[in-house]
Formats: sequence, C-alpha cells, structure tokens
Amino acid sequence: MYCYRCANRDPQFFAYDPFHKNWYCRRCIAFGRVNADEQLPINHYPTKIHKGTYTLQYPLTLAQKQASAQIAHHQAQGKDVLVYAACGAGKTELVMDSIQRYVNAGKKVGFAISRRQVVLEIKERMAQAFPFLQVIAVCEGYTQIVDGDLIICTMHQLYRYVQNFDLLILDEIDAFPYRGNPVLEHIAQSACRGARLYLTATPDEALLAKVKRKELAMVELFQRPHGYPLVEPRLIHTFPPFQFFALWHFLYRHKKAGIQVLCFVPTIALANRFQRLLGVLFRCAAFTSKQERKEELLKRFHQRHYDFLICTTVLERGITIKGVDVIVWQSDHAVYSEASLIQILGRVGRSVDQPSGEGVLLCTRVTSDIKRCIRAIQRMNQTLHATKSIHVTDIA
Amino acid sequence: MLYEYNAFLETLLFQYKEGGDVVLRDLFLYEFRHALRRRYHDATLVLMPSSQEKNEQRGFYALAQMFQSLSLPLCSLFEKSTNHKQSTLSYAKRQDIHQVMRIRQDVEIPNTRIVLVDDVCTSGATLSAAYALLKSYGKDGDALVLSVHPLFLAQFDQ
Repeated sequence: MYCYRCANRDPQFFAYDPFHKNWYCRRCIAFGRVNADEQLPINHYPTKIHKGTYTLQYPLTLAQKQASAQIAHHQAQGKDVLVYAACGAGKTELVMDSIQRYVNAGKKVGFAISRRQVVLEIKERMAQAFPFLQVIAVCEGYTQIVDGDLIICTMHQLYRYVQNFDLLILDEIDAFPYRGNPVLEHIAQSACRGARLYLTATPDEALLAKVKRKELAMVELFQRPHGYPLVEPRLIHTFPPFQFFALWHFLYRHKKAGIQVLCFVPTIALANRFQRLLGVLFRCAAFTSKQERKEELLKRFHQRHYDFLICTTVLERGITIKGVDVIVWQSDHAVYSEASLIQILGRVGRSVDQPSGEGVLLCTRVTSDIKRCIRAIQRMNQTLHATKSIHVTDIA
Repeated sequence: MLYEYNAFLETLLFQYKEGGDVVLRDLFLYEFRHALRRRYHDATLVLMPSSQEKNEQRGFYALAQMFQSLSLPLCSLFEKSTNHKQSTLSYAKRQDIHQVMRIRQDVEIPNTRIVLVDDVCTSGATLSAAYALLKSYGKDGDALVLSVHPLFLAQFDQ
C-alpha cells in the first residue's frame, strides 16, 4: 500500500475503514484523509501573465545583485537552487527577482515558510514590492482565499497545492516543523511542478551532500546589507558558579550602556526561574512558547520597557530587534545545535544603525556544536573579504 | 462526564468525524470502557440526534460508533426537525432546541433504564430538551457525555 500524499509505505500507518471497505493513511491524516493507493486530485488554478517589476524600499547591494544573478543563471538551466544566506542578509529581497521572472512568464509562484507569523509579515512586504500582483497569505486563520498570483503560505498549507507551483520558494527549511518531517517534505515536493528555491542560513548535511552531487545548485550570500560581518561569539568556558557571575556582569554592563539583551536559556522552567531571580535587580521578562500574548511582550521589549528578555530557542529565528546583544546560558546544552546557535547569534547587528554587537556563549564544556558554529560564522565572514567577480552579462 | 472539552479534544473529534479517521471510534471511551459497561449494564444508551445528511456524507454514524464499543444496546430515539449545526448557534438560539428536536415516530421508547449520551455538551440545551421530551412520556434518564465545555461547568459554580 502506498500513500500519494506522504509517500508512506509502512503498513503500521494504514488503518482499515469497515464502512467504506478501504484502507487509509494515518500518518498524514492531519491534512485530511487520503486512501491508500489513491492518486491525489489536482486542482487547476488559472495563471496570467503579469508584466511589471518589483519596487524596493532600499536598493539591493552589489552582493545581493550578484547572488540574484547567480540564482537566475541556475534557474535558466532548470536547476533547483539552495540559497545559503546568513541571517539578515536580505533573503526575501533576493528572491524577488526570481518571482518577477516567473510571473512575467505567466507562471504560478508559491512562498512557503515554516512559521505562521512570518507568513503575514512576508505577505505585507511582497504586496508592497509587487503592487500589480494579487499577493495572498494562506495560513491558519486565513484559509478562505487560496488562490492568488503570489501565494505566501505555511508549509502545512502546501497540501492544498498538488502540482500547482512552477516556482516554489521554501524558507527556513532547517527549522521546525519542516526539518526532519518526511510528511511535510513530501507534501512540499508534490506541490511543485517546476523549480524549487530553498532558503536557509543553516543548511544540514543532507542538503550540502545534494549540492556536492550536483543535484542542487548553491548560491551563497554571507554579507548583510550594511556590510558588517556576522558577530563572532565570545566563549566563556568555566565552572557554573563563575558562569552565573559572568552572566550577571554581562547584564549589568549592558544595562549601564543602555543596550538591550536577549538571554537564551535551554528550558522553559529555567527561563521562569531566572526571571524571578533576576527580576529583583533588572527589568526583565521571560519569553517562552508557553507565554501568552507574545506579540505584546515583544512590543514592550521594542519600546524598551525591559532591559532584557530571558528566552528559550523560540526566539532564535525571525525576529529583528535593533541593537540587541545576545548571551547564551548553558550553551553546551543539547538543545543548542550548531544551527540553533548560528541563528541565535544572527539576532545581533541586524539594523543599519546598529550593525554589530556582542554575542557570548557560556558553557562548562565546549561541545562540537559550539565549535562548528564558531567555524561556520568565521567561514561566512571570510568570504566577505574575498572578491567575487561574477559576469552579470546576459541575465536581464 | 468523562473529560473536559478543550482544544485537543476538539481537534481529535474533528479528525474523527470530519476527517474520517474511523479507527479512532474505540479510543474515546477506552479508558472507561469496563467501568461504563458495569455501571450501565442494564441500560439502553439513547443517542442525541445528529444530521442524517452528515451521516450519509461521512459514510458512518460517528456518535453511534463511539459508543458501540461498550456492547450495550443503542437507540436513536431522537431526530432533528431541521438541519443546523449546534456549534454555530448562539446560546439563546440553542435554548430553542425544543423547536428543532423531537422523538421519532418509528422508534419505540426503550422500557429499560435510559441513559442519554453525547460526545460534547456545550450549553446543555440538547440534553435538557431530550430529558424534557422523555419526561413528557413519563420516562426518566441519566446522561453520559464524553466531554463537557468549561463554560457549562462554570454556570454550576455560580
């Protein structure tokens, strides 16, 4: 038995329905029921040719233009592309060129993102950049309209679009819930009948192996628009009591300098405990996935009501706070993978007026993830100094 | 009442009923199946009415299947007068359920002990209408619901 939606062949995941006398797949039941060995119906969404160009608030940097040209070059050859871009490098702006080419040719474009709130943000940005297109967001709470010229959706929603996209852009594929989820992966693959464009700051080995095997083309962009390098973390490798002192000192120093901090801790329980402890001396709040009214908390942090936020990895991606520094407690904890640490450090130096900052990792022992993270950041920064000469000739 | 109605149960019931995940039918009462069989060994379970169209569309009678694991006699004594979705009605509208529910003419009222059963009790309107209808025929009954909405529980605290 085979499930066409999630490619399941394991009989354990099929259940028998005595009323309809057939088997159905339970691995992907969350997306609606699909019967075993039944092909999925394909919806046909109409496409139109849209002549127009996108408009940006800030012009693209040379590095962004070069990366964009490289992407175009690979896509012209019909290849799938992996964009290995550092946090804050301007990935969204980078893909606009691809989107424009495809909609100019009357093709269907989709942009799938791991997290729901980012879908709404990106939809706004795309709607501003492409005023001549009908840009729609499809995610929980926004499922009435499912067809548009440019469809921004969560990974889950891709189940609606079997073989519908000529260009499918997949953002943050190294993040939850897409990462390591065979059901979502297959759904995403089935949604695209043309080219795929993967975006990530932290590609895993499987992806890099594909690049090596030439199954996937890679374009790198490690320069952030303001041109400053990614912050390399300072490692404080010492005994726990001294770590606490180092943490306190870091927070105190930053409070005096008026610089806000994101203090990462491995568990929700720890976040709450730290908040109670440190809340005596500082204005701080705990930010975890269990927090109610997350947007409100973030807004207050933006408004500088707090000196720092004590957070779990829930804040490691996607948020942009001007001029914030970062410190990671117990960075040798298992929850901090190489990708996680790179993303956390990517929260530093994200705006033009505050392009750099400080990132500190506190640990009792230096794990291989910590080492790989530092090496990766160093490698990405090294490429900033190398001069690249790309011939941007035949690509319009 | 067996469980408090929450987001998890809502999703699970949706997956079972609308999603067609029929294999879940024995799951809901599983924890309590022995205790329920003992307690209601002499009773007939009377199902709260559901829409005939829905049952046909789904291909199975969800509520009945949920309780059939108890191996107790089931009875579809009631039927809806009109087709509407309880969950989309306001509280006031639900109280008018007397207008929308009645005892079926083609079904005999069981002469055993009666237990009214349903999957979710939100306002209690369906159950109290069923109880009232039974009363008018001189019969009494208990109620057994899989889950109860916290708002319903709250009105007793008042």
